[in-house]
Amino acid sequence: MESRTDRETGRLGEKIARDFLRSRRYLILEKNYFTPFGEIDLIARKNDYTVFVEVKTRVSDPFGSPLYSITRLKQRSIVRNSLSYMKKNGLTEKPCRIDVISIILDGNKELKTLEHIHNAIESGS
Amino acid sequence: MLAKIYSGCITGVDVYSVDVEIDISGGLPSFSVIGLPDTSIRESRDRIRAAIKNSGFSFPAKKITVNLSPAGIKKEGAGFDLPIAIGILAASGEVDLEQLGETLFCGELSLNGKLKPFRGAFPLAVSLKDRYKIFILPEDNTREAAAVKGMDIYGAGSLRAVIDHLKGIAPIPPAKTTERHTLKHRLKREMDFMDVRGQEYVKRALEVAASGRHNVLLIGPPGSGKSMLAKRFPTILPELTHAEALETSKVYSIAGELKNNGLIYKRPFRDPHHTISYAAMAGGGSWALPGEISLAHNGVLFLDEFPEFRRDVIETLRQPLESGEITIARVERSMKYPSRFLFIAAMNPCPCGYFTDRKKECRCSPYQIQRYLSKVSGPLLDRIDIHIEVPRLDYDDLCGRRRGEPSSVIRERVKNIVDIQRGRFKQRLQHMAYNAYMDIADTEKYCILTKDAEEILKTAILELGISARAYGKILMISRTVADMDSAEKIDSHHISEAIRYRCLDRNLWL
Repeated sequence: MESRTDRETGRLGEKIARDFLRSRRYLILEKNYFTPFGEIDLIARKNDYTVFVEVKTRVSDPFGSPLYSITRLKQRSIVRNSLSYMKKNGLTEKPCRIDVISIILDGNKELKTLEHIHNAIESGS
Repeated sequence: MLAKIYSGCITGVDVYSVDVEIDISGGLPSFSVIGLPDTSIRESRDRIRAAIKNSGFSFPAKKITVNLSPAGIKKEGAGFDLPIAIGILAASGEVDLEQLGETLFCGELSLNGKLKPFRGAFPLAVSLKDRYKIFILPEDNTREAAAVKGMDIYGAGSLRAVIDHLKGIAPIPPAKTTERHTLKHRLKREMDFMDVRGQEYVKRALEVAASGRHNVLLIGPPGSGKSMLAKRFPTILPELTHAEALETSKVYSIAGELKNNGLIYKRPFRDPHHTISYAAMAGGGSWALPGEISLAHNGVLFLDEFPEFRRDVIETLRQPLESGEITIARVERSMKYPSRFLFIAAMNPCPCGYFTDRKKECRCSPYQIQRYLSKVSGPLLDRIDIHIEVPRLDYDDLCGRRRGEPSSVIRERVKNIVDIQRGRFKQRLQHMAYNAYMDIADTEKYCILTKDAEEILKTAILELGISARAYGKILMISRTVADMDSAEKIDSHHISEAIRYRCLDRNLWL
């Protein structure tokens, strides 16, 4: 069950991620986009690529990197969500990929580390 | 974007040319290999991805589909790493390569991009040299591939090195054709017949065996020199012909035993221990590798302590001794490996070993002896032409100064007899041109006896109870003995000598 503070942390992380991507010349297309299957944290575009971004935020002293919390099941779900958007918007033959941004905040809710992993999740076999 | 890279693989001893097609398109990134790849090829995706990244290129975040064509044949081995990697780099535009139509690529990649050797480079080169002029492969496979004339071989150390070569940045020099070493070179101080003291009679029998390609069974007490003689037997056999060397090298390459060497130029000598398993002897196992009987192809298979081998393992010898090849049946297909060898078996005359010994007392009961000897009866014994006793050495031989003839002298004589047989069996394939492979029609044609010889033979059949098969063998052996005597017709002393080489027929101690 998400507590109010957890949701706040999440929202904060997503904002940091958005700002980061903008600073890297990404165009933000959507945030918290809902598909029939689930939610996509961020959808952005840079050059020709449509990038689906999953944001994972943790407050200081996490149990390992937040990346480890993305289970197989979650990965498949992210892929499914992305494909849904692609189909709807005619992007199935266009360059797309799924990135993960991992954010660690310190005790004062300030940004401690940010990791942006390109093409973190692939579909298929 | 599409790319096509040419490669190949081997299944058994068959070579298949394989087209590696790579398609890169949009959509969510994925990396799949189709075309019936085996597990090691499916695993290779992670290797290839890491190798490409660690070679300084970026791995495309795209939908990558690799097709190994023709799609209906099962592909095996890790040799496809290199062609797939090259194809991905070409199709993604990462590297701009011109036409690679005449080039063959094979090789396994490490995670750091280094090229590792694969099995079967030699048979691939031999079979595909007419289709492809250029072969790019790992450094460690260069020597075996370079033994093939008519193909430019380039051995590279890493994926990066291959790309730099193809782009002209750092061209690799083509490998020089591996020359065959001459026999003189190598046999400087190896084993020699001279090392064995005395036993002239046995040496003579082995010379007959080498000349006519007759299989041999040596029976004698421990320490009589059976193993020593058997191990020196290859030294009196003539050198491998070029065709034989090619055949044998193919088998060794597939077994992964060629590695840094060029062609096999020495007659193979295999002496498996009597605890060997069925799969190791016949071939097969999960990897479907050639077994001892194929590694002995065009050479010698020596089974010491013959009765100690398991029955089923002995049974595997039947097909090769009959047809010169072994068929290994697997779940999806069966594979044929060549397997034509000269067979030498050695054994004691009884469980304790001293039954025929003049000095030492034998501790076995008649029943034990009977049972021991019956282990070697049957169809396999039927295929052994020469069986002789190897007596223990007496004092004069053991401590005397007299040395026998060196192998080189004996080998010359053997070569002459082989030439005679080649002339006699002109229409046959070279590997069948030996007295030991004669059939009934041949024996009637080529084994003409003098009157005296016929008398001796008749007596032998009547008094010793020689079977029809043994009769045929005696004729074949006496033909070889007569050849060694430069005689056209088989005379009585040739027949007598041949009969002496069939000690088990005479049932002397049964």
